[in-house]
Amino acid sequence: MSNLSKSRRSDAPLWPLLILDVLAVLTMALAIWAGLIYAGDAVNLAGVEQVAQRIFYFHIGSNIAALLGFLGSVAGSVGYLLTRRLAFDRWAAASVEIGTIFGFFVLLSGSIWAKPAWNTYWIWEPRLTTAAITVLIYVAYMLFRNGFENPATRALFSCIYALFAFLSVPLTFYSARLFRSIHPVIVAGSNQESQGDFALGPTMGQALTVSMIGFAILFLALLFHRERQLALEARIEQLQMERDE
Amino acid sequence: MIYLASVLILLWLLVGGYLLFLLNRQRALERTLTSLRRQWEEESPREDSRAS
Repeated sequence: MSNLSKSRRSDAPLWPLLILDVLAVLTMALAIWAGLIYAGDAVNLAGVEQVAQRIFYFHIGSNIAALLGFLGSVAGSVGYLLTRRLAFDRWAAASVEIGTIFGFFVLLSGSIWAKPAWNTYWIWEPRLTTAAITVLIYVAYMLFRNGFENPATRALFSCIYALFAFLSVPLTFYSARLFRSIHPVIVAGSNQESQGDFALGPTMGQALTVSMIGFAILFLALLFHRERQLALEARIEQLQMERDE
Repeated sequence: MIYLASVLILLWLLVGGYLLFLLNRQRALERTLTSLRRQWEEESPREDSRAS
């Protein structure tokens, strides 16, 4: 019980996190304004499709946040496997959790956008299918983690799982480039087999950049809060074990 | 318009829901920590008296 005082993670200064929170709120407000008002209209669209194409800024922004989460899980997992410090596993777990939330939003926002654009909410085509599988793999990661009581065993197996799970991320990214896909390719060239096409005007590009920065900062703010909480959780778990001994 | 509005509402439902989850979890953890601290304070005088 002498370790009790060390468990007070709330003693760590909160102000850097609060600054990050304020920054996240401000940049997200800016991203919404840029996506809804600042960005120009798409010249080749009209009516419902014209309004719905603005979903793009939030769809791609959350994609970046999900990607950061999955990349974070790899960084945390490699860190844990190299050093065996549980803090790295906590970062990986927090990254996956938040990345999965944004991954869900990517699927749902894409599905809502698909209705006016493709006249259906869902098609089992390569990009959509691989994206859905990726999100489900990370949902399984969270369930898998809960199956272990020993923190070290949990960390070891979760980190190995996270490394294998990440293989689905590049597969999702390249799915629209490698296979015949209805989904447009936006970054790094386009697939001639792909039916979708995409070109951004200057205000669209700027709005997209603001949106990506906003979502990235929102992701970081949530990540730091969750890691802080997981650290406290781990400490309490340890104290309870010490008490029971 | 309905599609765009649905996406924005969905975004804030997901992020807001997660923030609520974080808040509730934090409260639960702080309650557990307080009870652990109380137990420790109750047990410490007994241990001190045994030692003396």
